[in-house]
Amino acid sequence: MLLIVLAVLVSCDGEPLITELVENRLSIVLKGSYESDSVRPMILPGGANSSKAGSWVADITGNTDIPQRLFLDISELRADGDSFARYRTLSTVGLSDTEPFFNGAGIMLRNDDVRPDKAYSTIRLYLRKIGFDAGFNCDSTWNTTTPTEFFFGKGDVAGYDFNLKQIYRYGETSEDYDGDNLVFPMQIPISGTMNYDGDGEWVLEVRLVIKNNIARYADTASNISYWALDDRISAVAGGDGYIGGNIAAIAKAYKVGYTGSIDVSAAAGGSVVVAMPADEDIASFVSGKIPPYAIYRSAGSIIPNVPVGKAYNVYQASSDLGTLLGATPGYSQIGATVTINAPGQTVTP
Amino acid sequence: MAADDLSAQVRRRSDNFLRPQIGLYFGPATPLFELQDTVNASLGGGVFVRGNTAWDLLKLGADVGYQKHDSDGVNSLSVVPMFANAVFLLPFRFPVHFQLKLGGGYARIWTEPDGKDQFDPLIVAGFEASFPAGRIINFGMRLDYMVLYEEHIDGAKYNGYILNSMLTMYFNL
Repeated sequence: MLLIVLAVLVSCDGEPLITELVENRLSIVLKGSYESDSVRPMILPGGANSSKAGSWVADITGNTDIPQRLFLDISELRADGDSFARYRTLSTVGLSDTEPFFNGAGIMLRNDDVRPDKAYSTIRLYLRKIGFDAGFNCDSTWNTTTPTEFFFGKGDVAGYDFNLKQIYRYGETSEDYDGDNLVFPMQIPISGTMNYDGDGEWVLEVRLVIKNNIARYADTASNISYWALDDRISAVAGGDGYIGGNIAAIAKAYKVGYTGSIDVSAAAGGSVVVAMPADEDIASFVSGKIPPYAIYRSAGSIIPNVPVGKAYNVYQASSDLGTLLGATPGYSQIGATVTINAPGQTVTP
Repeated sequence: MAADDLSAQVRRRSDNFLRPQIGLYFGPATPLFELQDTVNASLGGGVFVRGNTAWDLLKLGADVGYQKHDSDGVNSLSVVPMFANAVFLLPFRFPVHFQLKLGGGYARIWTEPDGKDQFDPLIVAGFEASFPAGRIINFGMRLDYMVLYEEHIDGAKYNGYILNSMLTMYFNL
């Protein structure tokens, strides 16, 4: 007993390593919108401001159903190869502004923390399945017959998993070319890298542009009509078997309590305002590369959670989402470069 | 039957067993409670020595082991338990020796992904059953319930609890 008492006394200055091991300092937030905060409202296909509504598929006559649900089956996330979030996540998300995945709040993914003092530059998101409902088998004249189904979680659900079609063809004509499936894994850059220090609370935010970015496709080989991500980045021609290269994604990380805000309320114009590290060239944010910080002007004028000590340029654009994801997003800079020098500080460009 | 008489009988039967002993052990090591969801069970092992006391039913010993608990992800916990212990031979008239053990000491632990290590106080309670195989060798199994005591540290919410279910072989010197 004396030995035990001595051991306790000698070790009083230790760290709670078991608690650190069991609990997390890093939270992963997964969002499904172009905006990081102050997200634009949901516009379902066929709505007044819908940009495509599946209009490129003129030969589908029967499928007028609009998708209501997104199915996500995530195998795991890795950070530069480290399996820090090896937990399968099944999410059925309604296409609605009340869903955290679509309203800017985000859904949480379980993880084990990453290694301290290592600069992570890429997140690998392993998507096992991704699909929408309102998929249909069609007859030879493209009238719908029966709903498509796929296995999701513990049973079949009505919908279509377009994961295996996420292959970017690069103009390749051979259908045996299988080197470019972009979702297993999907490589998502971390803006400014994640320099987790193993102290305090951290947030890793991962965004996939799904909200207001869906379109109807026709698989002419099997006469299936289904909904998937719009082909705003990599055009899909009628009859193509693959629709890949159309997921825009970005990740960013920050330490809670070591951030400030950018106030753009005084800036005129623009439907969206974005901020990006000053050392990154705005000209590179085209064709699906999206900024780490973005807000919809009608929904707010504050860009929150901007890390202390880094310089940012702020831009605005009046473009719709389709243009923002395209080759000429139309960003124009607001004011001068800003740097938040102290936690809680609000700066104006 | 008086306890002293029973002790004497056990002593006569177990003269060889009452010698100083040295041995080794290995087998599954299973994290419990919160750790069970964080790291996986694994194989562990170690060595030990035991010496007699004036009271034949009681030995004093020292154990050193090693076990590493990986996970499917980046988590891992490595433990080197180092503890002194008192081992009490239950005075039953039975061919198998049953012993209770209580000990304490330190465990050197390493955790990933934090990449940190330190000594933690260690408390061990155990039970052993061993079968003599001749005059020198004993085979048996031992259950060691180990507590990596961290709740005395500021900010700690959990101790580490591990159950080692080991096969053992040791020698009467």
